[in-house]
Amino acid sequence: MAKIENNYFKVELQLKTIELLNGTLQLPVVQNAAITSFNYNINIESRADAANKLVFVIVHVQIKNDNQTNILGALSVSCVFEIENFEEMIKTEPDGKLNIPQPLIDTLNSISISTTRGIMFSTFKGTFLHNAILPVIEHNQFQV
Amino acid sequence: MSKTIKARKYNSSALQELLDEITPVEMEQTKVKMQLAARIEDFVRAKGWSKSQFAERVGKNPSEITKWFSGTQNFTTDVLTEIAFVLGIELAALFGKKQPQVIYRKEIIVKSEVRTPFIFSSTPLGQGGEFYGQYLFNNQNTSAPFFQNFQA
Repeated sequence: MAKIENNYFKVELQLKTIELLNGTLQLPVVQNAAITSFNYNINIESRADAANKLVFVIVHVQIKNDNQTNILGALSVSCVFEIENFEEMIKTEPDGKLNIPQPLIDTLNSISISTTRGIMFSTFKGTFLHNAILPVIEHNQFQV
Repeated sequence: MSKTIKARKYNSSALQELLDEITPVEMEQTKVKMQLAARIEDFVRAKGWSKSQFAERVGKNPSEITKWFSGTQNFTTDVLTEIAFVLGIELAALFGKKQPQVIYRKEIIVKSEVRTPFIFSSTPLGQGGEFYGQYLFNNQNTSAPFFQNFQA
């Protein structure tokens, strides 16, 4: 169990499971045309299971070509975190909704995206998406 | 001395005849309808809505909501989907399967340029590395280059 402690929060978490939910490749119609840049549409969704102190972070990545017209590949990864101090970190509001603090979102997203980057590289290694390396994402982009 | 009062077991041939007419499937259908109605009512209460507030949100009369909550309504998929949508829950949640709650959702679009690999873009682990690669993975006390560990 890793402890992350800073000025904003103190969390004890563990990355329990990593799942590759989906991985697809789609060869471009014009195969000889050089790909000069990749666009990545990243969808991050977090779900909380309070009873089991779990947070599921599901990262869907769609890799598109330069002008976003074709989907070249897609990959979905789920990271399951166990939060030891769940009740302390994720508060339940009177209407039953769970409220997760932004620093924890940043931490979980950061770990999940890094994990996805690694899985993506190993999945697409040797294919035309070999150079499609998921860029580093700044924390401020995680804010809703 | 305390006296325990128990409900008297009621036996009636007429009632038994009626119950015998109900097939197990019909029994299950009634049970599901009752449970579904109870779950919808629970979700409405959790939202803090009154019957008329809920009726307004789903565009129905309060009398119809009363019928829904009575457990006699045979809901269509469309109506259930609408109810789940209004309540902000997943359809499966109405059937008792508790789904982990969505606590965060975000879409990010980023771009990366494909550059021609340049000389230092590969991790220098071999003999030719003049910079940081030569003593990679060695601590300061041992000066043997990393690749020597693999030489015969």
